[in-house]
Amino acid sequence: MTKLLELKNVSKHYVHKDGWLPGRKVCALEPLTLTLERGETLAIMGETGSGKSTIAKLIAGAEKPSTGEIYLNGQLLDPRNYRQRSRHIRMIFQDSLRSLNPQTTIGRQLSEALLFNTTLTSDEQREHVMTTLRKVGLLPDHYHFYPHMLSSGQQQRVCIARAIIVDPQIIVADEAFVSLDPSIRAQIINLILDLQEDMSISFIFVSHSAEIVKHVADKILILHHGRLIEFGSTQTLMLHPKEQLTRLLLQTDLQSNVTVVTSAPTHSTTQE
Amino acid sequence: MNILDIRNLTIELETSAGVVKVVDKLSLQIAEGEIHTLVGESGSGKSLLAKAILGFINPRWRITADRLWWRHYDLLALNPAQRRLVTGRDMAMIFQNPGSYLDPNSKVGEQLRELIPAGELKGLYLRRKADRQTRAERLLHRVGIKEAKSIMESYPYELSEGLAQKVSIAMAIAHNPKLLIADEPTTAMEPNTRAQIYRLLAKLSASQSMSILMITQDLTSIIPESQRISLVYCGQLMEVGPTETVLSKPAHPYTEAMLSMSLFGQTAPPKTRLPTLTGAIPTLQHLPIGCRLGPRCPYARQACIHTPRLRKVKQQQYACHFPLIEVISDD
Amino acid sequence: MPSTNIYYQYREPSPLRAIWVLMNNNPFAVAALYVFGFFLLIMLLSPFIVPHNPDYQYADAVLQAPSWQQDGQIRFLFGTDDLGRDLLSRIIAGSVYSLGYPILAVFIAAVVGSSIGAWAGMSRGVQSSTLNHLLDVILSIPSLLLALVIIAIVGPSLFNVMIAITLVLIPQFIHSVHNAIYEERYKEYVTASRLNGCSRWYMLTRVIAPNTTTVIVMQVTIALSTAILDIAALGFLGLGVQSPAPEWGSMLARSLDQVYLSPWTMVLPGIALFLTILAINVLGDSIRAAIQERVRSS
Repeated sequence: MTKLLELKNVSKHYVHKDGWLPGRKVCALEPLTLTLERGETLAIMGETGSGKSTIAKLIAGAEKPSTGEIYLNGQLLDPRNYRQRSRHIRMIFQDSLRSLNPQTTIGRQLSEALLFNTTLTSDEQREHVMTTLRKVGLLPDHYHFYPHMLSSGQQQRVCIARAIIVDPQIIVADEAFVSLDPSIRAQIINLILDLQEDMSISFIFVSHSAEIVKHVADKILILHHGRLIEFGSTQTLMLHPKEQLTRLLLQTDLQSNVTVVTSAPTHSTTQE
Repeated sequence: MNILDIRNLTIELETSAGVVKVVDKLSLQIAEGEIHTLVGESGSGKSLLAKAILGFINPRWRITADRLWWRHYDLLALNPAQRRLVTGRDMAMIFQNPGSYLDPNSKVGEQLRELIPAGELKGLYLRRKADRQTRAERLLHRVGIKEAKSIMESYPYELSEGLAQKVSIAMAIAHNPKLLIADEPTTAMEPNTRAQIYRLLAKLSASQSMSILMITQDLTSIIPESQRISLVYCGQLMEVGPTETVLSKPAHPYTEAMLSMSLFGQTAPPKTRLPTLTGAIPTLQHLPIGCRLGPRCPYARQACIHTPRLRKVKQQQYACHFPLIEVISDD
Repeated sequence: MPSTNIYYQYREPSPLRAIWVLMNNNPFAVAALYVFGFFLLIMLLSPFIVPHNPDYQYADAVLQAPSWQQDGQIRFLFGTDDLGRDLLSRIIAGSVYSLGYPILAVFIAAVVGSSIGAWAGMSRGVQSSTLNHLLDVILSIPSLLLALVIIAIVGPSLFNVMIAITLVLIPQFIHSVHNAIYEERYKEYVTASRLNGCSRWYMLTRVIAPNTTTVIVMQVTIALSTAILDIAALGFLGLGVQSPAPEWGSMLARSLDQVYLSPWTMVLPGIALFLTILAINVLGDSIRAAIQERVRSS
């Protein structure tokens, strides 16, 4: 059986150009090979500048890889052909408000994906948008709303609706939970877990919150300066991390809070 | 002794939909040398509170309080010039994106040297200049930056976010303030860097008996040494008390919900649905009457349409009609 | 007032509506809008509302003072000029030349300039930078000077003036539309649309263009006041609309000789010109202020 998603030696470098002089090459991601099964959840972790957003963008097609190929169900994805992957791989951005067109209603923006990826008539499109809005916990009334009229949690729901509206196989989320309030964040996580169960979507997300990664992910990929340093199932990485960085990233600061809860605060840490 | 004493602070904003009470009778006391954590989601008015304390006041806000005292000054009675003098001498603030609060066009060293109080320098021109330099370096050493020389020669964009936050802390403590207000200083930071900043803040607080008001939106980012914690929702105080008591025995449903929503790693097995408050945070135009948590609270009953009084059990205070802890009624 | 909606619901207006609401709160903007609307109406209805034929010379009423003066006649409300032509009729008929033609010029310039600007904004690399540098050269020359040069080459006539003005205005539109699109196309929502598999045409017309309307509206007001002033200035210099056409600028020039004898022949067309341009500038300014206010408040 072919794997759902396969990355073969995918790498990315940027060229910093200064005028007409030949630019400096900066490597954002060293060649990386990776496979993902159907319905699996992959978390990408790393420090700032480790290339974790780059992977997400490469898979979603927002950036073109410098070398290497990406296969979906054994089929090569052309980095210039957005139509080819737009049905199957969808992206959720970090800042939901900025990723929505401020001058267009929610309904129009959601039907955009249907217009270019399906053969539905405009009435069917409308119907489908309404159903999807309901699926992500919004009302059909929101069809006529503009993005700035919604709260941040609702905006994030619209972005999720845009991702699932064409029944994709993979959803890529780049730090989608960072800017949300705790209560809204928990709701969104629940929503994604629900949708994943219903539609058996694979979910790839970038996060630096160990809490969320532990809760949601099946596999974790740790990056450091654009290089893969550890990759494995959540259980393995949590219990037997090979690298020091993995341990650091997966350690929740909660553990320090628990010591506060269980024992009275000692001021030993204050004198280094 | 409380150096900051706020009782029933109310901030009203004039919006297009009429006057809105954004902060509703909020009380806050901070003792000398204490680290006080203020937890609130967006729209809770936590940043407004910080601005009200510091006196960044917009003429369109109406601020009333039974008491807004800083040490022995009544801040509301002072005129703007006096108030600036007091807050400028005793308080400092650090922000979420340190990079954007540093001047991008001048070197870190120049910005730091500028902040050294001129009154503390001695001698003539050259001597003073050298003194400034050593004091600026000492400031950087105090926030745990070892290569002070090279950092001072760099521009803000060259610093990592952790370093930039340390520099902004160094700038904040240049005047030896008595109160440091930290407005979500570590949101969007790596856990690692975050821990470093927390250690630094705790150390500063302990060694200089500087009080810290740490504003955060989430229970996962609390300084471990924090002594007291306040939870605010939509401008109303929900619960306040010693950190360990509040986190281990929450009296308010909101605290309980926040705990289970933020620290689920321990309680919920992977892939299970998280307990959460239903609905969304109300917008300014749609604030409910009575206890503002009411519509989202799992324990809400009819009595909740009246704003609950702040009640006290030992060290812990909460504002709820139906607390989660056993209360021996005193009447 | 009884409301059919039982529940009080505050709804945020849509972005364009928000700008309109903000403009409505500004009394100057509303006044300017009414003044501009009034002139526009007069311009459109001018063939039907002129009391006299603007070119007919009343030999019995040469240099008649306006009707509010002692020796004025109610027959000629604004008086007559040195050839006995009714001034009110001439001002009304002149609005076609002084307001109608600039509007036409701006419209053509906007269509042509916006399309070129959109094309330049969507392309990248050498194409776009060549265009930009070329435009910078053209934009550095004052528009009136450029129009004068064009007139000097092709000779003065109404048609040539229109071509000159339109050509002068096009680079401004290209520049502002290009910049607006260039700014928008790297925003995240455009990337999101690209990942939806949208065609380039859809991206330009449905995704990016709605976000540049405010820029275009602002540019139109600026271009309109430039065009009116330029046509009037060319008319004043005798290089534009040729007499006996009642263009406001050439009316000013003609009356220059008798300004002490019959000041009304100069003041009244001057006031018409002044009010039109003031209204347009105030309108443009308040649109800009409203856009800024909306961006700040959101």
